[in-house]
Amino acid sequence: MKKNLVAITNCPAGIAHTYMSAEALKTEAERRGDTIKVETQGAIGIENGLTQEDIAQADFVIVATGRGMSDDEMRRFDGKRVLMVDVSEVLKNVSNIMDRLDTNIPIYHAKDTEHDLSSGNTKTGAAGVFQHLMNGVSFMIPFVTAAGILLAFSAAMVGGGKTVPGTFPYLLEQVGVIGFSLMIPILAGYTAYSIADKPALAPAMIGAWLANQADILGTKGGAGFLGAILVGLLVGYFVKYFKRIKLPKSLNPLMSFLVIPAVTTLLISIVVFYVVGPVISGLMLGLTHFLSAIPSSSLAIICALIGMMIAFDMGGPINKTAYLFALGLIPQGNAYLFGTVALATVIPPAALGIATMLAPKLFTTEENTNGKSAGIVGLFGITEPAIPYAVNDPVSVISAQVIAAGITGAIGAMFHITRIAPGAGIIDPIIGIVKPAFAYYIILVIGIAINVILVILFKRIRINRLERRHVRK
Amino acid sequence: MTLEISEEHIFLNIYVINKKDALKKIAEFAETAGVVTSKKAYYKGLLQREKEVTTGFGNGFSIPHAKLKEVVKPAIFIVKFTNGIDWKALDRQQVNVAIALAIPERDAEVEHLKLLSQISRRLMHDDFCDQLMRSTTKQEIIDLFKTV
Repeated sequence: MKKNLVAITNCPAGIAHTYMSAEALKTEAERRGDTIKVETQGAIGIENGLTQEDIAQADFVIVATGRGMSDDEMRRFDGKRVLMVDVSEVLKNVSNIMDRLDTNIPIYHAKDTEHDLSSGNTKTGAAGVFQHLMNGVSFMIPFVTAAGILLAFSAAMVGGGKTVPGTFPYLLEQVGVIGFSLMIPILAGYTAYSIADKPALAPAMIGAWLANQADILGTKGGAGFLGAILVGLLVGYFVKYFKRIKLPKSLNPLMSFLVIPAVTTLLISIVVFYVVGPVISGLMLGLTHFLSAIPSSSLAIICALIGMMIAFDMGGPINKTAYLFALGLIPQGNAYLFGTVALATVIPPAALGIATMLAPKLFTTEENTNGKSAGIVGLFGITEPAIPYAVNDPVSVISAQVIAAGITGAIGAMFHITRIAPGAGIIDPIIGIVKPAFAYYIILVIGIAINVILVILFKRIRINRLERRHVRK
Repeated sequence: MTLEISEEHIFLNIYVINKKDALKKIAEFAETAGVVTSKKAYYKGLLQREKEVTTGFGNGFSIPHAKLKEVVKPAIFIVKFTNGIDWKALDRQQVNVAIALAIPERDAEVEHLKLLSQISRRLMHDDFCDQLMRSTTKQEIIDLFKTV
């Protein structure tokens, strides 16, 4: 009977036994008419990685290990029939190993983590925090990508104007907005999940959603993605330590599924409502006063500031403050600040899209895959696609775009770029809401170029620093 | 990209009395070729690896290897012995050919490591092993490895 097999091979040095045993398994399986996919975990990294689908469709899993497998590594085989052997056994007698598949192979059960109060990610320190955030980003990216593309289509269909309820562009727009709303709790939730597993998921999602409900909090804007990061990390680490409280084993399920989520949700809601909310309010109010106090004669300075604020927290309180301030000046006859907004919303995602094409080695695989769509969506003035990049590498990405947007704002002011209504990025001059058109495009290109150069530069510096630290260990 | 095995990495008709002797000889070759900075460290590494699991995987071949910071660049050495050596191989047979690998600790040149992994894979194929066993000149071996 034809068998569908998957296998893992690894060994300490990762250069010989790993590949020899993989080859032996492949040859023997083919000889018997079985299908096999072998993931090698060698010195060059993982080759032929097994997907969840591969594993789901497999009849058996052969784990030929020379260096052992951790519980985390084995978790994806939960529920499958797993044959664990030493890698050298495969080389000694691969035929015998394949024969053993006809005997009773036990089903592997992953360690029950919600009941394992001491579980949690083993990395510590700043590196650990970024691992967790990257997990959150990884789940968030599809939301951003899908929503961004639909929103861009919608904007293109109505030429940057308003959509009419009930029409197809309206549907796309609303779905896009839903996607962007969901990405915030997803980021927080899966960051927290990475830190402390299932009990942390709900409180983090609920807390992050709350942190963006301006009406509930009584603020003029939500906490944005920075708020989501804060909530995700707070909830994650809180639950991690909460789980360590020793209780009789029979109470474990109660703790995991009821007590921890309920208590944590309550606590994070209190923190968000009574602390984060007022901080956001105060911040937005303070910044608005600050902006109002700048004499309108220093147009370049104020536009530089607006640009920097727009690029800083993309959808968060600082961004919102700058946006609303700029919008509010239009009826008073000053459309220059909103012109800066027209530049600053396009630059970050467009620059990141280009940067992934020029220097893919500086980005993760997911970042690279989503680069082009992020860039194209960004050209329509939708900044959200830049958020995942900012979470993965806040210092490099945010400082690069803040500097670029600031410079661009100043230059834009000097050339009197104005925008008289909300629009959709590069089509704004075409529909007449941004003038002067030619100058806008030139300055946009300059701004994007500055951002691209800085992002690549800052990322290179960071990676060099990380490598030096790794070698010294 | 093909792996150019140079003549300086191929050693024929080498006489050694046992496995440890063989590993010592290999370490010497590696240091002379400038692949490792310390033959002592490389020898220790090779020995350590043998202790974990024998690298004699059968049919008269062995693949001693070590991953150390003393390794300057990834390299491969092919050593044919005049006599069979007890390598405590998986098939309990003697070893006539050792294909030694030197792997740097810092994962340099992924391309080189990829080639080494491809060589490892080819060693599981009978035709490749037969030809290697039957080769009597350095040139034959160089040509054979060009096919990897």
